[in-house]
Amino acid sequence: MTRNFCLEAARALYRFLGSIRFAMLLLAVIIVATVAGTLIESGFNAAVAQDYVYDAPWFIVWLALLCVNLTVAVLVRYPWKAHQWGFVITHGGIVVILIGAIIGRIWGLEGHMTLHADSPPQNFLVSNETLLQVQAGGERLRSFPLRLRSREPSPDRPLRFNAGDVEVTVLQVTDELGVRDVVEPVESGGAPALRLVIEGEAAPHTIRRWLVRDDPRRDSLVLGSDVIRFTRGGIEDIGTGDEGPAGSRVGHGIDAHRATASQDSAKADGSGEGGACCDADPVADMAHFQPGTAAVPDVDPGVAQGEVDDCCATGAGSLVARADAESAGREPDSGSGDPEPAKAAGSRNELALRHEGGRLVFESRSGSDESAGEVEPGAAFSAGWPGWSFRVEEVIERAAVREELAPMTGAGMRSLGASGLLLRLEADGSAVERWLEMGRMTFVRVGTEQVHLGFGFRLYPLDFQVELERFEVDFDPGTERPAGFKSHVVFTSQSGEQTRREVWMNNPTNFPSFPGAGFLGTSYKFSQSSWNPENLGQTTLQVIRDPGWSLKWIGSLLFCAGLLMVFYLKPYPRFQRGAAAAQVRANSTARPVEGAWREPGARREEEAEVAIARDA
Amino acid sequence: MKKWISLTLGLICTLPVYGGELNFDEAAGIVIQSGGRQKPLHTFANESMQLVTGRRSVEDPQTGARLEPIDGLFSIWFGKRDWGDAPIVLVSNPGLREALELEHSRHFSFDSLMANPRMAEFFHAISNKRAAGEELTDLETEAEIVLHRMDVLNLILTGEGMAIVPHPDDPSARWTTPLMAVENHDPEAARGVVRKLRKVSDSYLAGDEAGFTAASRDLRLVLSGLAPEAHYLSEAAVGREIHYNNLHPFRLAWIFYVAAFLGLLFRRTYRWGMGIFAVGFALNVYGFILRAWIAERAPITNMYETVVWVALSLALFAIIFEAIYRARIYALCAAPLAVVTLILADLFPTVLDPGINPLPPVLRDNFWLVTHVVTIMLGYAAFALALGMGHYILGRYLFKPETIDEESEIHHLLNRVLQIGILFLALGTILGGVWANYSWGRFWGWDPKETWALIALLLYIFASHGKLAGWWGNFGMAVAACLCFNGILMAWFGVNFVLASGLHSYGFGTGGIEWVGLFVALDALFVGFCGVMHVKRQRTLRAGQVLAEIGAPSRGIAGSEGAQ
Repeated sequence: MTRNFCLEAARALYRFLGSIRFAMLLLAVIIVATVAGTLIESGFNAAVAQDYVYDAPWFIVWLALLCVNLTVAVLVRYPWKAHQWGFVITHGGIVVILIGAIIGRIWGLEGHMTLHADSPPQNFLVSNETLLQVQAGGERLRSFPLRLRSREPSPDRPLRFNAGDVEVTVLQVTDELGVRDVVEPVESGGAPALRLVIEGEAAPHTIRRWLVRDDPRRDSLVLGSDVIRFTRGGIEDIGTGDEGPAGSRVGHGIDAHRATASQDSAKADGSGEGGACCDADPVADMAHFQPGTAAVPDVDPGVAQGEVDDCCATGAGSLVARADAESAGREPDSGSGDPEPAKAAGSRNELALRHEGGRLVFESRSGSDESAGEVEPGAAFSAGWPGWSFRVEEVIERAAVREELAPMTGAGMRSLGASGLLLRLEADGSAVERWLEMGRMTFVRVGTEQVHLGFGFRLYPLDFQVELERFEVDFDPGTERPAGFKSHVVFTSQSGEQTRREVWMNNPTNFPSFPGAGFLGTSYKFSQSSWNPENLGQTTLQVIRDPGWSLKWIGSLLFCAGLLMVFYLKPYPRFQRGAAAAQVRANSTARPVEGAWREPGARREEEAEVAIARDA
Repeated sequence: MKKWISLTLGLICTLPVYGGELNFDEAAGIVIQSGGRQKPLHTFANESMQLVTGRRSVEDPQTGARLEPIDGLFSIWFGKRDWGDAPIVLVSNPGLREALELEHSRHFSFDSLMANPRMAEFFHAISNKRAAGEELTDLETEAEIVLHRMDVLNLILTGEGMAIVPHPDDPSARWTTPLMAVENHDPEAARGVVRKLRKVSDSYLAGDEAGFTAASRDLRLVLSGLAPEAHYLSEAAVGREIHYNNLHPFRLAWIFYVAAFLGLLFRRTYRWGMGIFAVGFALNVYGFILRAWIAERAPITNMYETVVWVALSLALFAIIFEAIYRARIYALCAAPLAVVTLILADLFPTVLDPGINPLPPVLRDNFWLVTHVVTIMLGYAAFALALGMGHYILGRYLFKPETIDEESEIHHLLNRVLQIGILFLALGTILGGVWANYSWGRFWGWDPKETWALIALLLYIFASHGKLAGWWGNFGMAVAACLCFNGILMAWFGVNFVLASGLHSYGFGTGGIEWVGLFVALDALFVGFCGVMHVKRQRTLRAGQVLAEIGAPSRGIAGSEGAQ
């Protein structure tokens, strides 16, 4: 009895799963959802539409249900009669496309590569997926995907992650993170520091800056060609301002040190600062994880490749990178900053400040005029620079500098040119709040836990290397509109074999290549994606591997062929001959059409006969 | 009598149509490099005059005569009048005119706009925002359009935009103006060009017809001799393009379609109607081929070209179906739709730009692009035809309900068209995926354009499966043919003009949203009204049947049936 009931129920479910009513429900919801998706994309952005509709789990489940519906609808008709082949092929085609899409979703990957003509070969892809990586103590590395574009965390709606013993809360996100120097007195060690205020008609605006002696990044200030330096020696110690500005530039977007550091990507950030990376300082830089050094595979967090310093790479190897195109697109001297102080060529101003036994003295040179004197803290002095006025606001005999990260606000901050996350880490009853820079490993101590943190785009390692040989742009005759661009790329396989390829618009290349690679989609496909009009030695390639591609192809062919068969080869009685269907409906009794759908063979032939009779 | 006729004919022939009496045949064939390609001055004049004034002709500020674009171009270039002071720059947006504090007019002089302090403010605001990569406000977008018009006019006024001297060897290099010819050519040749141009200018200003024609020919020959033949637009190509400009094939086509429609209205004149329809179609095809030849690519890459292609496909489907069924309804429904689309293309050059311009890189040299757009537009055209037939059927149900029912043959004719539409739309959407796989790297990415094409397809599939499920019948399919077309409209225009997001950005434009919205709303009202009337009628019919079966003519029963 119950067994019969169960069987009946299963049969009913099976019938419902393959029924046209279910199909209509699925279709209606898909239509409404995709319409909503396009409206969401127009109102917000593509990422929101992706996260809430197209890539949302419920939508995937819905498509899977459609797949089930179509499969059952095909199976329910078995054995297929001649006139049903069109139906089977059409609906089976859609099933094949959907299966291909699911395979592509699970086993495929999508990322991009930004290559520079003068950079070393690259062996990883950067995906669009942002990850937060946490490794607490001796535990395993945990990766959490972040969807910041569609779900922006705020202090009221934070994102919480549980990484073993450490509770991680993302409180805030910023597009541009900056560094502020905090100069504090220390008991022992340290170096003298002074806060200099620069005003006057020649200054672009009031500048207030700490100068720290013996700190190559903070002991001098470069204003156009003018140089101010806090030094042990005198004016001769300044050197020419041209030979690599040691200090920070004023009036420019990005700090010079930062720009050189990001260009010289092979250099671990700590190396320039006396091994700061191994410091126990809570915000010590672990490594400068720029693409090119950070090619660390997902699976093996302990091993770092490239030239990253060992001490920096232990612990959590990073598989994250910051948007390279973003940082590379920025020029240190963008020209958009404040206007340079106007002056005639050759009249370079120099000012040296010296700390001598509790006294502060200056030596200055403006053109051929030289002057010297004592500086009274708080009082203005001109130092002989026409149009300038200086004042030392504060002097600290023993100072240490601490870098503090915060969202870029402008005043006295250097931009890092990267996004940042504000995290709160909780462990052992103590909590720490920190800003985390994109693409850089950060080491934080919370209570007794030592936590390595990383935040950036997921990297996919490749087992071959890609190098940009040169990049070509053609323009429309007589214009600056590009007519096409082409990347000349060299692939180097693990065995060292080199392959030269050209990638241009609408002409992707597959690697590793073999006959049928383009059809199968199992190798990586490199498509020309974008270029940088300001840097013609840079190219961005989109890289996709989609093992479901062949199924998508076959399914599409089946679908179209099936449609042709349905419409033109065998008459498809219902759709074509509405009148015949109406007749059947009129003749049959309870739920006639559902019945017809269940037992397609008999009814259909009956209809076909009616239709033929009508035609004759 | 004969004398009179010949005299009048002679008079008509000698009457000057326009103010000028010069012959521009030679001058119009001079080749200029502009907008990334080589084109005859004739095209350049049409495009730039249309852009600056928004009209097909230019008004001479002194005589008030209407000048042909090519005449206007020479007049401005050679400074026959004080064109800087002539009100010819179009400022179409009322909001912008208010912001610029302009009087009630649509055209203003270059000088007055240059002197307008608010225009200068707009200029600075726009250039700052462009430099910073910020988005412009609507008013600033309009101001930018006006600034562009001023720029185009200024380039002709100063002669700086008249790049007619070819580069001696590099086909992609920038051409120079005659005065700068010495940059690329030896001084003697450069002086020769300037001398010839001076002759053209002198004879033009003097109104010396023979001299102008001879001087123009001289200049043309000298210029074409400065570059290798392979790099220079051939004389045949120049002639072809001028022919295309003058013929207005698509305008002729819609005029023929109008005549065909009138003929098709009556059963007796069916043959005449179809004959005229075929001539219109031939002109449509001829224009399409000319355009493809001039552009050296399939002309289906922007909104204007797709609109023309859809008109062509509509007529094509109508002719094929008429050949099979001789049903009259196909051509009858296709003709007005083809007329509407071609009139849109003909009369709104600011919304649908008819210019032939080089393509963005992603659209170049692409087999898949051509097949994708051609098929998907065939699908759109089939559904447009179905839209027309749907309205015809609904109209029949509304006005002559006794002539039509669920079993009428006309439903079968509609279903044939819907089949074609589904087939081509499905094929086109999939081919779009194939193309995307080559150009963007992925098969499907939920870009708004591809999503809306899919939505439109799903709408029609939903409608046809609803009929399979017995939820609605043939009347429902006619309603669906009208309603589902909104999905096509959205995919075709809506994504570009309403949503304005996504990767298909080369088709973006502005304008016309209100009109399309009004059309859609009115149409929905009509369809809704037809539906309500049909349901009411069905109920009374059924009630009548029930009454007849029961055989009890009681009012109470009829009333309760009707209320269900």
